[in-house]
Amino acid sequence: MAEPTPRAPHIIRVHQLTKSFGSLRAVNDVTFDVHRGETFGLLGPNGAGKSTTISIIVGAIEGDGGQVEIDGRDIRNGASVRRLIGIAPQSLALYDVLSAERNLVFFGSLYGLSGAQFNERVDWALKFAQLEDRRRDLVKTFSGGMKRRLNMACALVHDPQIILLDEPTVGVDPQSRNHIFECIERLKDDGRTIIYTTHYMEEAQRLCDRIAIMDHGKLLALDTLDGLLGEFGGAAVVTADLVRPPTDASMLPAALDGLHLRFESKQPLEEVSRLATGGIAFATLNVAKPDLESVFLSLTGRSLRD
Amino acid sequence: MRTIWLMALKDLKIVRHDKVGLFFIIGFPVLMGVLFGAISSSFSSGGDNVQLEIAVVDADRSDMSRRFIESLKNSGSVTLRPPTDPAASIESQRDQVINDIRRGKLLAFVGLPQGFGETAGIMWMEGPAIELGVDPSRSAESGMLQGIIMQAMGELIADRFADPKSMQPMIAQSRKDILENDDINPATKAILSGFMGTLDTFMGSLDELNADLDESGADSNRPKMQLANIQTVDVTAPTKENELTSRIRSTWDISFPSAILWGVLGCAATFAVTMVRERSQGTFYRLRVAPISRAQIVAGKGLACFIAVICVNVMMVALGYALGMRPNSFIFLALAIASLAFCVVGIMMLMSVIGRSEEAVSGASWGANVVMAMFGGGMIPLAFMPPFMKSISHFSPMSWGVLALEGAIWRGFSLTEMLLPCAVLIAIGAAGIGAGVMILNRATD
Repeated sequence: MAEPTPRAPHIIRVHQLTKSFGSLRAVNDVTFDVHRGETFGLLGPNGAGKSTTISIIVGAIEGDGGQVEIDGRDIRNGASVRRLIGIAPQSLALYDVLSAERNLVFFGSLYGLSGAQFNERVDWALKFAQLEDRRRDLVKTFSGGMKRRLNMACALVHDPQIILLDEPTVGVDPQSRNHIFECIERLKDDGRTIIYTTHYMEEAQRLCDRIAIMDHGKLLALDTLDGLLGEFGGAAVVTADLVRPPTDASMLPAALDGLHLRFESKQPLEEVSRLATGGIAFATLNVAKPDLESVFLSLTGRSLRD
Repeated sequence: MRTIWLMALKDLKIVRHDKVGLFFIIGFPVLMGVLFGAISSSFSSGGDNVQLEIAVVDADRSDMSRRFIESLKNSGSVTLRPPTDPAASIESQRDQVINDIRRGKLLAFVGLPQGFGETAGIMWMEGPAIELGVDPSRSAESGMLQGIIMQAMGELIADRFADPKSMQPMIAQSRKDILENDDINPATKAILSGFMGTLDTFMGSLDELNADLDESGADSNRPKMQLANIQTVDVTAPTKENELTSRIRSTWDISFPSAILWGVLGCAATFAVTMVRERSQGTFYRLRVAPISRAQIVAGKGLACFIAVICVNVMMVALGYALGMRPNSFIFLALAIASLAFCVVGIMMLMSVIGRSEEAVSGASWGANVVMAMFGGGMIPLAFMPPFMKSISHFSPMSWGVLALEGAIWRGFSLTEMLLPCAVLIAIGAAGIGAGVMILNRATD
């Protein structure tokens, strides 16, 4: 995983953002910065406030309080800021009765693109979405995965510097999901700034340089994956079945249940190595390292999948 | 402007794929135009082509009853249905036609009682009543039919005067009856007896005159009796063609404003749905994030609707022209169409934000359309509406639309006269756009 550049100036600054819908506080005093070239994850269950935060950042809705700066400017201040941004909303935002190409041309045109360079971008976006051979087909004839890829391509056709992907893998088959991951990794390598919202911890772990964990509109924690695991992940859990009882039971970190052993450790591999050296023979061995699920559990007292 | 044009072009492309929407924009108004045209044709030229299908049950079977039936036929507005069973009794025939009226197969029947011929056409003699049974759901035709019966009776009176000899014995008999009637006071008796004597003398003179004319063959000098001399006058503005040929204008002139209205209402409903569809399919989100203003989004929608309305109107005018419509002024027609299109854009904007789903907007749009068309003369001609409905119609944009179109097509409006309906249409359009944008802003903030 590429390390974020610590000295890179932030390209997005979100400060004390709040938004309510009636009595529901969807975003509650959220503050974070996103560095240039960073892939920033917003992780949280459905209803955590991720999409609302994204919508305020891109100017689709207005926050009740707080500030959002994109490249040092207010999003409401002009078209030039909006040209920096491309968003793939969680709900597909495509014209079903137009072709894939027409969708790309229309959305690209809104950003003032035209001419041969624009045609090249459209071709690039079709290739990105793996829809070159379906470019003239109506979107309504596409599968869910194809639509999802085109949804992303529409966000990228105008070559934005900041890309916001709101749950881009929802309802996507595994093959399309892998393709989307590869595309995002290519965009990362290309130096784009990406904000990626998801409720799948595996995706955040795989793609994001830093991860903000949200729940009930609040930002609970923000750090690199290792930082989050170190601070909130707790110890690894080791479970094993022994071949025979040890001659010296005092060397075990926990009491045996028959031949079954279970213990927690911050350095599980070292602990297992020590036991093996001491003559413990393992019939089975499982080391469960802490993950974002355990981080979320630690922060909220409930599972991310609840 | 480029962005607005892009938005409009995209919407027009989307509507092109919407087969139902296209039908309501193009197919429906054509159907309405043809339908209204056919209806107008049947009412044209003072109702000459209106055919009321009736049956006559003739219990008298006299020379006068046959003349009466002949007069009904000659009116040109009545089709007489022959008896289904000529051999059946009069009572059976009467029952049969009443049953047919009840079942909607026949408009009316006229029953001529026994003794009809003895007194028919003699104004001072009271004969048996003529029966008239009419389908109660068709009261408008009932009035027309009574007029035709009165006309036929008038012709019988004329027939009586044309044959003075046949009248003289009845005059003598009436004079005798008056003199012998003790219930009539002497003064009245003297007046009536004197009138009968004068009438007898007049009929004798008339008979002599007829005999002289028969010999000379100067038929044009023969005295004629006519209850009312009616001549139909075309009040529509004359076209050059009409001035040259004195032809009555095409009835399509009358029908096409209503048809055009249905076309523009179809546009309003179809484009209203495109706005809510943007929201339901998520593309509105993308539009709002793009470097374009909300005003450009709204203007793009409005422009698409405006272009569609203009296209529909041009198409309808071309179709109307092919069928015989001859606008009095193409410039005023263009003014009326442009004003109407702007008004429709306003209506569309308002319709597009009154619901949150396509179904809600579509249903509400067509509901509003039907009400506007109903009160605006798009379904029932304003002339047939009761006074209170005519008053309400002033609040329907469609009545102003019809007025503007009619003003340009056949009412022969001057520029000053055109300004009022066009200004009202533009004002309604502006109000609709303003209200629509305001509600949209509230709904999406």
